[in-house]
Amino acid sequence: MVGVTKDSSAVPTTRSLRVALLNEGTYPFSDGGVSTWCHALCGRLRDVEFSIYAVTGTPDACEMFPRLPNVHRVSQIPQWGTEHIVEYGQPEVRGLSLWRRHLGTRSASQLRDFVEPFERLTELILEPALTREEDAGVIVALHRFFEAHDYTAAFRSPHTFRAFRDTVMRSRGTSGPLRGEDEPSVLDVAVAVRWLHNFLIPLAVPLPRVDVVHATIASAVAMIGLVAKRELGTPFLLTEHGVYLRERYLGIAQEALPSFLKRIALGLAGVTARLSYFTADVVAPVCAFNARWETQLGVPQERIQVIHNGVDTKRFRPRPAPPHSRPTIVAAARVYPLKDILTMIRATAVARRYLPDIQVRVFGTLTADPSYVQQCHALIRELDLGHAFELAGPHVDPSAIYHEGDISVLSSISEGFPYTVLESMASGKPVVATDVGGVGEAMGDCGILVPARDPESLGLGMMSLLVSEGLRLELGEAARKRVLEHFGLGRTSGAYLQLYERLCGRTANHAMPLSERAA
Amino acid sequence: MIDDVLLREASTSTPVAPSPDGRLLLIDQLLDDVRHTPEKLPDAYAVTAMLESSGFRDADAAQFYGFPDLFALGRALHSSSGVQPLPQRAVEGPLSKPIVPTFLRSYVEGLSFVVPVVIQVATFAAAGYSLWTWDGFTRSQATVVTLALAASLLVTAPMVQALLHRGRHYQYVGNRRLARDAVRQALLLGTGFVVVVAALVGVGATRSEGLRFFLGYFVLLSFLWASIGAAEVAGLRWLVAPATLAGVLILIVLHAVGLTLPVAQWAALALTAGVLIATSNYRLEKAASPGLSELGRARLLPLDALVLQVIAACGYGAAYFAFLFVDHFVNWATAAPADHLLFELSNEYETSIAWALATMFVAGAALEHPSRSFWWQLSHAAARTPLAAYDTLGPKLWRVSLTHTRTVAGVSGLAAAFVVLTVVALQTVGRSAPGAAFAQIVLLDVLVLASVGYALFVVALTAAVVLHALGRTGAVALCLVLASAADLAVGLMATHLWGRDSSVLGLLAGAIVFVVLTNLLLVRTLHRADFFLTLALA
Repeated sequence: MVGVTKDSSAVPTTRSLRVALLNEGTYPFSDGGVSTWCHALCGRLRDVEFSIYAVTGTPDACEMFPRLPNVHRVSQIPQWGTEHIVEYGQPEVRGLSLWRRHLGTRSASQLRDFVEPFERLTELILEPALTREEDAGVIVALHRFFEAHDYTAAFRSPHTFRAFRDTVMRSRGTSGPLRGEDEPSVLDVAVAVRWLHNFLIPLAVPLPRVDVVHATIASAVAMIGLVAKRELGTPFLLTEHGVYLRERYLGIAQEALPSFLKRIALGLAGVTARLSYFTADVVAPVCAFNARWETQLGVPQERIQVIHNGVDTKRFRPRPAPPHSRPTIVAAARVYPLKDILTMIRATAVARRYLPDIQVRVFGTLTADPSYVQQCHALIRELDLGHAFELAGPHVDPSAIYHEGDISVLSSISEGFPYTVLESMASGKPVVATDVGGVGEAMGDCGILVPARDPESLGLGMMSLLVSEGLRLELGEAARKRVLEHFGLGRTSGAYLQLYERLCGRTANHAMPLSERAA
Repeated sequence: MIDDVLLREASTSTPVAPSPDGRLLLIDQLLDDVRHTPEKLPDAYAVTAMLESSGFRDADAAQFYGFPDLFALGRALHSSSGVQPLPQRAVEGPLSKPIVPTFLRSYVEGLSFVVPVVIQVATFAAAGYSLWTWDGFTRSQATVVTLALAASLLVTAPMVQALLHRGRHYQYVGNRRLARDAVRQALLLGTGFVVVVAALVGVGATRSEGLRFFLGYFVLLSFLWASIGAAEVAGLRWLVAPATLAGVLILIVLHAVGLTLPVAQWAALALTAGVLIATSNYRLEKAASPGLSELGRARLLPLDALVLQVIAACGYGAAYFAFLFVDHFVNWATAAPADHLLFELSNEYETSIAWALATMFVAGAALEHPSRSFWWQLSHAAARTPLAAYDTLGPKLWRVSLTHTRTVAGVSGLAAAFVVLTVVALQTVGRSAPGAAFAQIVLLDVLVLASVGYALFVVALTAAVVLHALGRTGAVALCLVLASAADLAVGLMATHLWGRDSSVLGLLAGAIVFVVLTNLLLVRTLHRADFFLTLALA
């Protein structure tokens, strides 16, 4: 369980609100920044009744946070390792209803209402830049179909397969979106259909009956918000911690996949991100840096409202700590490619040239990407950093991490508005961090920013803070002050509560497409 | 990836904009990096994401490259990087590994699964009995035991198929806890079913010794088949042979100390199955204990969805054994029964068929090779077939299937010849040997026809293996049902025309129908091989 503190300063609400929080790969089944944010939001807004819809990798995930009293329900939606939609996505479909749906999802005429929008979705996936606001209707049509039919059977139908294959075939050649690509193989196409079956599971989930739908990522799970808005008129709020599409570009580029499958994965991310942006009433990135991407991808400036993450300044505060026998740097980070721990290891070797007894301790889960962890261990051995660099695994008390070091470090190649930076600053420990995402906005002048993927600069930055106690203390105090002024938890949760209330007050307009509203 | 030197230059140099020529040079360098990046960059956003993750900021784009922001720089670089030429796909190689060594290895392994049968045959030859046979049974008793054997196989086949399907699925997705639970669930459901059948039979058992006899063998043999299924999922298939040997030894000891043979057989069956179940359970439990999955919320499929998932496999299991017993039932039903039985077996016919079954075991081991290699061949063929040529996948797989069929057919022919010649030789030697273990009369025509029938059945199973791999288990079950219908129709007609033992013609006709149907089905399936590949992936 991730540790939490009792917070007596919960933000009061003027009336009871019901909010559906849509997550993927985070709360409550995983730790990390977004999960911390979700738990803090739910914990602070105690009069708001939250329903959590959480997409997970497999069904094996277990809740890592204590269930809060105002978390009404947690609906887990595993993408892999399940066989039928009734296991998690539609648990209420049982017995005769299941068989009726199954038998009613076989013939071409029964599948017509599925195949047509599916074909259009395939076209968009192959060329996501063509996605328009009106294409939200495709997602709504698919959801309507799954309300009355067997999701699994629809994807196992020859009509569905043929629609996908023929659409891909049409996209080849000199003018199609697949021009210049590797020719997909038959296996690629079969795998792609399987992927779409898994990735689109959130479309089959029954809609939440709530006052506001709040997505924390612009992925397929956000399509629940899109459909709820279109079908029920429920206001739809989107918070982006990292920019989903940007992180998919970075993540998928690293994967050893045929280019067609990369295109499918990226295309789906492109479609869901764009449709989320078109449909959301408010897009609330956690930093202005993210807003650049959202604006580029079509969100009008007036619908963007930056709400910075906030940190619990009582829990994360300066504490007297025993002096460290060696110059010590801590990092709170999952050992995962986007955190670029390999660069941190190389930077340690750089800093060690000047401070031979330096030690770096990374606290964070080692299970997110086992092969990457192996790479890190190999590099530690290669650079002979066995006594200087430690992958220490998760810490029992995250608020104590920063007091185990003199400074903290962040080497990510992509970030939103990272908690580790805010927590370290609130704890009075200055940070050396890569200048990515909203890190610069968070740190201001209270730490050292270096370019990403640059071990020399990162190592020199670490060294320069460690050797100068005066600078360290000065930056630490300034950092704490900056967090108290701008990034307190109360400020953040209050902003979200205001937003929820404002959105509810505008409910009557929400069923209208954006273009009509603008008119 | 973007050059580190360039990167440092961009981020650390003094904020003086380069000259227009200098900018062009920097852009050229960057373009070169983008072109040579190991990852394919499908659009301008991908380039921007890559630049950002390499430390570039909007300010760098403006200061050093003259673009308003990184998005504009990304667009420019992407449009200038040019379309990459369509790479040539690898030249197609063979779709199978060297066949002789891999086939031989698989075949020997397949034969090792016949060891339990060999142990029983050897015990019967030496002692006159095995775990469920005895040359001292009366004809009525033998009929009841054979009926119990058939019923146990028919009733438990769906359970064993469900157990294998679910257990293997959860092992494939890496959840050993659910693999254990699925095996337990299938065993529980199967046991419930067996108990219901036993209870229905048991209503009349109080008044009939034959029915009590039936119940004993039916329940214990059902338990044995289920235990073999559990051992398979637990990765303990090898244990079946030693467990059978232990069971036979226990049987000999118990019989030697004075227990009647049926009671000793029941005890030995119970112990053999019990050991297999207990060991499998221990193994599954041990595998499920460590790891996060124990803490997870993952749960088994709800029962109604479970039925949807396993109905084809269950149907296949039941249809398989139904086919194997149709000719027996026709044979039994033809003669006038004695001892208040509805029907009665013919010792000669059963002995001949039992020998002929050896063909199926010896030839069936050859199916190990297609079972292991076809999925590999399928995925490799699919990976090397461009989408534009999707209709060539079917013919490629048909050729693969034909290669397997030819091999299995060759082995089946040899197996049939071997079995027939061996039985003839044993008959000759057996009659003059002391103890006369092989003195039971074997009907040569039945032996030959049944051997051919079983050989054809195995050949048909080769196509079935391919169809299973393509997710067509339900259709194979339907083929078996139609083959059984042909078996029944021809068998009834033949026995009416030419006498009781002609029921073997039904077996032969059924096997021919099964060969034809499975191969027709295979042709139809391979016509849409790409679609069925998608089903198989699911």
